[in-house]
Amino acid sequence: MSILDEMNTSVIEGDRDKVEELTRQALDQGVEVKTILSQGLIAPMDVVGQRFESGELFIPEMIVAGEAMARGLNVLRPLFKESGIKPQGTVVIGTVEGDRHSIGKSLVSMMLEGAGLKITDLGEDVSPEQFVNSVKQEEAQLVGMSALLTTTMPAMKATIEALKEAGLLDKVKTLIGGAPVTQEYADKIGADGYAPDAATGVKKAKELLQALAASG
Amino acid sequence: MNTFKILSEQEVQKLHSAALNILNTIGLRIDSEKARKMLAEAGAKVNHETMIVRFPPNLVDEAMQKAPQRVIYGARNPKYDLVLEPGGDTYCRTLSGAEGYIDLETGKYRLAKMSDVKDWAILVDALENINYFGLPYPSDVDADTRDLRMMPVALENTEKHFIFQPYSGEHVELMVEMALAVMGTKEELKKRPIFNTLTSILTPLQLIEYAFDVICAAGKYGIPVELNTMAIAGGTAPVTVAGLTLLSHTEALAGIVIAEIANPGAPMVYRPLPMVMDMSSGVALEAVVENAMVAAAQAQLVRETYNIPTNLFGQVADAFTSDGQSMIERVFNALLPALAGANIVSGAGGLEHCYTLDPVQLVIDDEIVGMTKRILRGFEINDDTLGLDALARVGPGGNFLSDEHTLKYFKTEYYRPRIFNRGTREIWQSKGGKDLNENAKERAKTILREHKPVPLADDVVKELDSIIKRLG
Repeated sequence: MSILDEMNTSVIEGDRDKVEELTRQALDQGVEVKTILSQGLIAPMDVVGQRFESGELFIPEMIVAGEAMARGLNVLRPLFKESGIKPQGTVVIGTVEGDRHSIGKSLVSMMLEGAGLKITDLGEDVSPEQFVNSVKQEEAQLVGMSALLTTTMPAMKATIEALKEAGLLDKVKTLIGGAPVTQEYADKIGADGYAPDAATGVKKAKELLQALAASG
Repeated sequence: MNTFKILSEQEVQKLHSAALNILNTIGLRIDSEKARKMLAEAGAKVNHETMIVRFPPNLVDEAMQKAPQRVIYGARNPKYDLVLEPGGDTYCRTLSGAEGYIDLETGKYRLAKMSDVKDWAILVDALENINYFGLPYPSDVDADTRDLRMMPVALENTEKHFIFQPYSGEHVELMVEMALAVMGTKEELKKRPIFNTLTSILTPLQLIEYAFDVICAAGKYGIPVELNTMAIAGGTAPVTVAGLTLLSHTEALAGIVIAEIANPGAPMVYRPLPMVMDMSSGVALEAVVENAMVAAAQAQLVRETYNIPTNLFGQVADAFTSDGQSMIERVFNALLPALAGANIVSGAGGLEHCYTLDPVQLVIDDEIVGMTKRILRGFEINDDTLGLDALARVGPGGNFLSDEHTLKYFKTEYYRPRIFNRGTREIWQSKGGKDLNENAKERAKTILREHKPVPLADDVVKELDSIIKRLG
């Protein structure tokens, strides 16, 4: 079995340590960074994605596969620039100010990581200022906001306004979600996207990032 | 009737000591400094930096001993008062906190409005087996104060007890003010509180500031608190049924312990709300059949340890409409905890986990609850009920139709649902051949058209109006 085949199996099985080890080995063997990335890390995640959609694979399995892939990705990331690889996207995600609910947001965060994006998860009760600072610091292209309470949803609007004031809105897309959130609300506050569940959130995130890259 | 025991004695002990162990070794993260100081003084082990509070077992026991085993839910009309006590009646409450509503006319989903709040209160007022209720949360009202604005509507349209989810300690104070307009004095309100409050532990093992404030404010006035925990197996709780039972139970206990330290003797109701993450969609499900077992286990666990009042789910469904799935889900999940001795079994009228209310479902649940209560009533076996004399009278080949024994018992022996289809197919067809949901819809419409709740006195209505006006 080639090292890339081994990597595929290890990613799908969610063997985090093995994937990291194999990534280093592949580099040592002289395999090109972009080959390791596309054939050793992204390809198996595509398989994982398909199996999840068809109902053969479930959330915990998808998350550990994503974590394994991310471990490999972290080894490769410092080498992207010299290999001419553009990073797939940087995301800042958090539960908005006043809201301490985390599980839904964490689920999306982990799935986005499994999609190969660079994720900064700010946790919960994140103020608009904290979102803005993180976007600047990480040079993020996407801000994901979660709320579980109708009383904290207004913080989403406040965060979008803070991004606008900081002059960041033309460089960054906003995506919102959470049980009480709706497409209608997203439209009302000027969010770029809304997703009703985690899997759709990942799709939407990728779409928004592509749109940004195309326009920018 | 013998209570259903799903756990063995050893299993009860194992769960109980595991819960105490978690509280002692892992503890809760409590972000309120005031709460931490209070708990430190009471003997908890507090680390102010990490905000972790650990509860030694003797502190848990002492606090739980203070929790009353008998709690009164009062009502505007005392005939609707509920007594939650060991061996007492089993009651039903509707779902609380839902924003979605199934329109009675169209059968379509939409967001709830203030007019639904009124309708819901009227329906509950009329439905015999629904003992108290929570309301739909309207979207056509200011979100920050809707919890308060709904209260006068509830008070005006039903004489029954209700539950509210206050958004802050200050809101509790305003709710108390409104309740006092009806009850008169603080003493009377404390004796027979006409509403209770709902707040939550944040799973896993966290208590946030506003929840602590609500607990304290409610305790001050003797307003009972149903302290929710919403553990999600595989997400915020261990994925196993046993692990879910344990964490959910531990958190429910912890909340009560904190409430009793804050206000010794505070009326509290044990109210875990365990859920399971659907590993395909990430959604938190409430009506998985395993939850019936968790609820039964928790009802038994509390009965055999602290024996304080319990409220367990319940007539609840993950289904999006009041279809067959909904009926299957809610019957399993309501029956087991009821048989296991829960004081309250709740969720009536609810769909889509906890997001949506359906008046048609509520009317159907009235029957499901009626049947559950009938089962709990059991059947007495004595010489008279055995019909020994009647058998001797009627003998081989006779009939019981007009026997005195039949006349004595026939009206009270068998629960008679109002909206079920019975009789012959021909008769059913001649009346329009309607199904259960259509019958329920008709009943709901009749109630809304004809049922007139006893109104509040004018001066009370005026006072409530003035309190609401202050909200701006």
